[in-house]
Amino acid sequence: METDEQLFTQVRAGNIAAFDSLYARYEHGLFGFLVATLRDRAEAEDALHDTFLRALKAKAPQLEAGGFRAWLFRIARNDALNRCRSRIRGATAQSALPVPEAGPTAEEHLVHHELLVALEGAVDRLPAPLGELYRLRVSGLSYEEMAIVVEVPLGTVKSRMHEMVKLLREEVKPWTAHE
Amino acid sequence: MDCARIDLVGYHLGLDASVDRDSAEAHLRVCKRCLEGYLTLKRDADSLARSSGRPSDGARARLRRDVQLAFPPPRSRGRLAWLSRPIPLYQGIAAAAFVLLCATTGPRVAHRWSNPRSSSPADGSPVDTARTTAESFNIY
Repeated sequence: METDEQLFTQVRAGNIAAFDSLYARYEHGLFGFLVATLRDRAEAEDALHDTFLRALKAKAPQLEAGGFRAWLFRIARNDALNRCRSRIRGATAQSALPVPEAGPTAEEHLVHHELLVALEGAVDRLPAPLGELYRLRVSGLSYEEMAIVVEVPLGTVKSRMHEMVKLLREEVKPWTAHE
Repeated sequence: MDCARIDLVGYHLGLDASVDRDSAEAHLRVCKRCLEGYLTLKRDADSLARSSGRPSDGARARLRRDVQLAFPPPRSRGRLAWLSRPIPLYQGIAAAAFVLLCATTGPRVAHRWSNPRSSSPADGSPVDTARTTAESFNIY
């Protein structure tokens, strides 16, 4: 199977089938990350579009083996951050900020997907840097790749991951623990 | 490791502690309730991650079209694509000078070759270049 870097080179050489393969590999993970960051599907689609084009049109990127994914997510993250800043500039701060959705209500806890609702609420309540790491992690990025994307040392990623797990563990404990 | 100490969230998110992961896996093999708890957590976490779905077909088609425009396939670049090859400066100047030289001197050379005796008199008689008197005193 061809690597992401090989597909990337082929797309730039005019091979549209290579683009289809590359897109299929990232449409779920990258789009999920953008939707969770921007909280708006339409804007996430625009961000995905711009991310791919920006990556493909980049002038001779020096990609190491396995470096494409972290690089692509970094472009996507920067694009999403720019969009958030534009919202703040363009509209009232209240409506522009990516406000987390309201946490689950007591009634919602009673539906059969109690853990799912609890987990969703717990992820929404995470502090922004930890929530971002959670979304990158579930998108399949390694610790090293996350460090590249969020531009912090690897040790910082590890300590944030521990903090995030600690918070989530407490939130979902009623559904995962037993006597 | 007992049930109270197992960290299912950390295990699911792949916390970088191989010793804990090994002992957690060993515990999951023998404790059915923890395994069920982990599978439920994993199912719901995966479901949450997939809840955003995938981009619309329209968004995909728009991106695909823009990629095709930005990076056209090689065959559609046309038969004259070789003209876009860069030409080295000195070779280009030399080629242009050669073409100019041919354009200016070529017709004369060609005319001389096709009429090698064009400087001879029109009647074709040989010219006596050693004569002592002028051939004619007419002023043309």
